[in-house]
Amino acid sequence: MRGIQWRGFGEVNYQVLNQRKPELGTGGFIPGSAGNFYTDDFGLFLTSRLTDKASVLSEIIFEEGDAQSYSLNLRRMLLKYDYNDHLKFSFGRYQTNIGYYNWAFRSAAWLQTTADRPLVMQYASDGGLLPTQAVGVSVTGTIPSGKLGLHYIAEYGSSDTIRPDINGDGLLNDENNGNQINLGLFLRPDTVPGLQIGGSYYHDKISNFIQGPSLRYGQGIVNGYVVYVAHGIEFLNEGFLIRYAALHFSDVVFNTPAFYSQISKRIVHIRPFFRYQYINASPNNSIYNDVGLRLGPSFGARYDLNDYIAFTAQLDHTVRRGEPDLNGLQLQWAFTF
Amino acid sequence: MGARSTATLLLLGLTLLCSARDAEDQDRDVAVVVNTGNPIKNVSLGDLRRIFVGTKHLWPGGQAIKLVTRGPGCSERMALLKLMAMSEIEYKQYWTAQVFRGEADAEPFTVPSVGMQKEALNLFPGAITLVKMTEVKPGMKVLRVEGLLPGEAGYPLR
Repeated sequence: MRGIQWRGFGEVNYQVLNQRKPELGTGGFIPGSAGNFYTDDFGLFLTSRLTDKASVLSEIIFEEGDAQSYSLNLRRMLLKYDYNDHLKFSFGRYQTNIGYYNWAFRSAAWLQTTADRPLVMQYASDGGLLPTQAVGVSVTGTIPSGKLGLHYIAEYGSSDTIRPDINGDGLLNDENNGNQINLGLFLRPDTVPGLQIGGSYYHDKISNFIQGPSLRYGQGIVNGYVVYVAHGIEFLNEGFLIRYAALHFSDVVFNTPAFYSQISKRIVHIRPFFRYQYINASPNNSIYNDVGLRLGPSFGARYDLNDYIAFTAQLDHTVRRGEPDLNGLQLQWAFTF
Repeated sequence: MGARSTATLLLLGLTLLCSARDAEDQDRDVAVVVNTGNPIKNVSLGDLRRIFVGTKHLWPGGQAIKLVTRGPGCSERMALLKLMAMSEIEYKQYWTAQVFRGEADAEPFTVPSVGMQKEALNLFPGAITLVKMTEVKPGMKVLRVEGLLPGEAGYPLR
């Protein structure tokens, strides 16, 4: 009997905006109030080793929604089989490996430096732009490459993304996804420990909820990143191009570029940070009509009280197309147990 | 005493001081130690880092790698943190993240003494640990790092 290993993650947040309208995800935000407490995700993480090469992993999330309702989300449930370092299989519900952030921080606020995820990396169920979950098979491993430290990622699975509008209008966009494929490469060179450079290409076919399920779009997501995490420095840079091309009307193409850049430096228990993010969805893009153009900085600091509890304070300034600039303050207690 | 004799004495003193410092530096070298049944003789610094950050899980023969570390504060731990380019807080957060990512089952096995390190080496055929050069015991197999043994000039782990 090898037993089950348990871990837990949680967070308690207070967010105040200079408008009385929900924004950037729906985590318990009450329309008509400029400030709210909310708990967002509470996660239980279970693993069990079955044999020397096989194990099971699951991530059970209690996700806060509107009116302090909580939904249960089996965010990851994987049967893993590591044949060797070059060939590792995961079968089940996985988190798509689009970009670095999804892989590095998963869904635990405690692991992040900032109080929230960059908007482009938010979970789709919180209004994020990327398809974050799928059921299928994921294969990863190292490629013999000497000091280059090359790794690959190959995923094939069925997504079923339902994305709420981020402006609190209550609309849900069911993308009626097909089967997605995601291919990625990244390298961790020996010469610069802590450096990781990578990229991926994701493809699926989806529907535009507003135009009806029969109108299908090809969805292509190109990602590239350069990340350095060592000696107390965290420097994250990721760029995306999200492309929708109507399959039956060759001239209808929407390109949505997005990026974020984040830098922080640990000074004993305090980690001050700065982040800048940018998303530019065309006004004609009815899939991201709630997003539009958004750009702006966030800055603040995380304080680690001990190995289990962290407090983060963050200020955000967001410039929006056709709407007033948005200012926000986020205070967060994040913990692991 | 002439000026020439004084210079000779000064040079001799300087040489002795440098030798003493070299010996002191060499004493600070930290050995990479594995189970005596492990056929590996040499490891590159890159592979050593990959092993201790938990991205390389298997020895070339297919044996699972078992990480054994010393607790915070001792010289072996300092050498490990230097190798991983992390502070103690970051080390703990890193391993919590590795477990949560599904890249590791648990944080490395931490033991409080060199005696327990030796026991762990005997118990786990795939074990690897760092031991201060002056505390290496019979029955511990010391690996070369980039072709160098602890105490040799240019040895990278201290």
